[in-house]
Amino acid sequence: MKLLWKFFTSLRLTVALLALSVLLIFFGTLSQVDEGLWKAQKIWFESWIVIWQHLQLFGWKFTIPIFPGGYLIGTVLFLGLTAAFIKRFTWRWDKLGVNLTHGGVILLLLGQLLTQELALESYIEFKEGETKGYAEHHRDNELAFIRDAGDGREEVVVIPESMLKTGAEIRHEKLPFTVRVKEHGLNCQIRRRGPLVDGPATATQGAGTQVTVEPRAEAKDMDSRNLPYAYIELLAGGNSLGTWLVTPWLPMLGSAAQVIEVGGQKLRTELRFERYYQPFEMTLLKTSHEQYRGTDIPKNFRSRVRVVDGKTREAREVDIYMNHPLRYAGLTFYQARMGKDPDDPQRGTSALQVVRNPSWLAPYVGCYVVGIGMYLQFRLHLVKFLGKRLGGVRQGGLGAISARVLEVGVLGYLVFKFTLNLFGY
Amino acid sequence: MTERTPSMRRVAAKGTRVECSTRRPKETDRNRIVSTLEMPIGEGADVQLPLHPFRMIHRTPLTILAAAAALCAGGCDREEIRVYSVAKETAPAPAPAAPAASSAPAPAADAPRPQLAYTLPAGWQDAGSTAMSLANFRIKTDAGEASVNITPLASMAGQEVLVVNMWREQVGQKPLAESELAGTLTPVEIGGEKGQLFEISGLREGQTVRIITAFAHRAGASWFYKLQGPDAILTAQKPVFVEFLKTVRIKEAGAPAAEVAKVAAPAAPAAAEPESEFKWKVPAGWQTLPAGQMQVAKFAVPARDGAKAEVFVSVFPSDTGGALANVNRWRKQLGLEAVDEAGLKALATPLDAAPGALLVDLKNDARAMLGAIVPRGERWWFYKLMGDAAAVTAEREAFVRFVQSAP
Repeated sequence: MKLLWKFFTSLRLTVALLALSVLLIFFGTLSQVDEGLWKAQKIWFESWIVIWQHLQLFGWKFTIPIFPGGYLIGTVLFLGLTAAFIKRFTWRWDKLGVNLTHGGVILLLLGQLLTQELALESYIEFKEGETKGYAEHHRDNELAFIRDAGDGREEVVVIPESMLKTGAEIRHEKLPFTVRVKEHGLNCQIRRRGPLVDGPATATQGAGTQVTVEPRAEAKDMDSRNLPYAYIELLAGGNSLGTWLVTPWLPMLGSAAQVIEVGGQKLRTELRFERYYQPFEMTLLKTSHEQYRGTDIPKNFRSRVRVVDGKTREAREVDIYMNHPLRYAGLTFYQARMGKDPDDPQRGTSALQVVRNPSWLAPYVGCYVVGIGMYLQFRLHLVKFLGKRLGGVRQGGLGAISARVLEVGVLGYLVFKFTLNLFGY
Repeated sequence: MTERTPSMRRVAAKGTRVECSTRRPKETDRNRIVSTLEMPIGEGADVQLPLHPFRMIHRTPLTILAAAAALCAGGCDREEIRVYSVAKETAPAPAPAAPAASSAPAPAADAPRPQLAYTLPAGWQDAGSTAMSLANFRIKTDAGEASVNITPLASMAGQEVLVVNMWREQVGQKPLAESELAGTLTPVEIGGEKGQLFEISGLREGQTVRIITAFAHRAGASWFYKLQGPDAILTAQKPVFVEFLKTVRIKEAGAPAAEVAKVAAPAAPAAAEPESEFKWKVPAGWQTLPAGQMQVAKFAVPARDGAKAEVFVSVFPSDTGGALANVNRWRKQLGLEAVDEAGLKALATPLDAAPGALLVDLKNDARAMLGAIVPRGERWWFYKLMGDAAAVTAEREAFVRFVQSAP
């Protein structure tokens, strides 16, 4: 225990971790060339250990840890800093600056950890006049089974795509069948079946019998998303109900919902972008898309939306535009994209980025605290230094008081101004 | 207060060996600390480390680690099935902007389709039609299985190079230049019209594939006839395929029967005739329905206590593979095992409609079928009454009378 305490409070550990962080950022950045931003983030920063998985020897797959991941470095750094802070903490005015700086850094690390775990980013994409009560994830997908629950409601059972591994069998008390994943691919393209060139269809039921799936390599750049597919066989009472193809392509191309009938029940199934339902509905009323004359450079993107909250009986219209997000019900809505409906060029479309981050204030507060701490520390030393050089300033003199007033005034103004900016005023 | 330097703090920490134990510092410890720090006793009060609130935490630094791990474990766990209830969607979810990848053709609504007539060679089995192919056949031999499809596509007249290269690409062959094309295509007769035939072979998904394709351009469409399978079967089946092509007749959807007559060779009779030309007596209570693919008529018989059945009539210029193949196709539709020649004899009863006419009675649980094959002149008439057993049994007599009446 003592050894552990010594380990966490040692300055060498902090220096070593900072050096590792620099290397991690270096490798992680280079890795984006091959892996793309999202995957590189997952491999290097959102992991405990960076694992090299490609080594194969005598048919065995080896997983070799090659570097501490972002989580590990961050956690140990946080623990080390906290331990050192506890160990060296003394409550004295002249130590206030150092203590605040360290406390601020701890808050920054903690805030980052919380953001990592709690923050969620999604999008609402709608056309003018359309109302939506949910946002969709921009990368994750889910397999949904939807059943009519009466009273105008539906019961939805969703299986995250990460569970759809080829060969997996998925059971749930709410599902009247077992889902066997016959094949799963991260990205694909579909086309109408060409009986002249295609072999027999893998799907035996639903729209999948009429299309052919062409697997594609995983999309790694930021602008495109993967459209996965899965062939799922449904088994009830030991019998196969058939094999269905599920992919977000089907609803996107206007294919009718795939309905499964089992034991007198009707269930709809779709592999769709992961949804997050909100307790309110949002209607896109109008989009304004201004460009600088004669150019394609956007001048102003603006979405006018109506928010109707059934619970609070609130209904209001808001403009969302650049640097003016809407904060509502713990969510922040930013203007993300704009376009035109391909079916109706007169009709505008808009995409709002929806961010839920309960710890969004943590980095700001952390920066404030670090800033104030550093200011106090440097000020203390500067005053001491100047005092030695120039011979002390007379305490209580008019100069000293007015200097103090000026200092507090300037500082207060800056903090006030920053805070207003932070909240968008 | 004496100014403490960081190095003194370290000494203080070193001196307070009590930090990681639960015992309070003894007076001697305290004195030792104080003596180390060279501080008066009164000043040493804040060095009573175990009493400081922060100092209490560090007794178990592992708790912090555990808490962090627990936090992560709670947050990281997204691999679970969720169940929730939402208001019913009123409108279908709109299509999100398609990613840059590319566009795929949307499955189009079914339009009326042309009809086909042909003489089915021996050993070929009708595998029905699919969304794209109007007709599919299976050829099963000891050497393996081959398939034949007939598919109309948008006209590709004048784009023969494209047609050939489209197939070559499918089996991993290099595309041909226009000048190399002449040696590839051989003329062939398809239903009295001029068509062309080519062969390719290559690898597809690691297996050797040989494809013989014939095609002919008609008004607004190019018709493709593809024979695909293992080399040995295709060598044997190629002459059969070429003969088969001569017998194919196409009746465009919505086109009058005369159109078929025009393209048909004089010897081959028309595949289908408008319903109005039939002289048969439709039993009372039967409801005429729009005929489906390859059918000349379709009826719904009266429902009995919810039990329903339908009658289908098709006409072909051949026996389409013989009675056995057709009866086995029907058995398969009911989920029954195939029978052999002896089994067919036991099943079929002669029908007093025409010489060689037969009737089969098939039943599987609640589903039943009455099938009749009636050769009349140069045509074979296929009648089928299929549906819930109760309705089929009730309608048996009416069906037999209907089959016996001259069409």
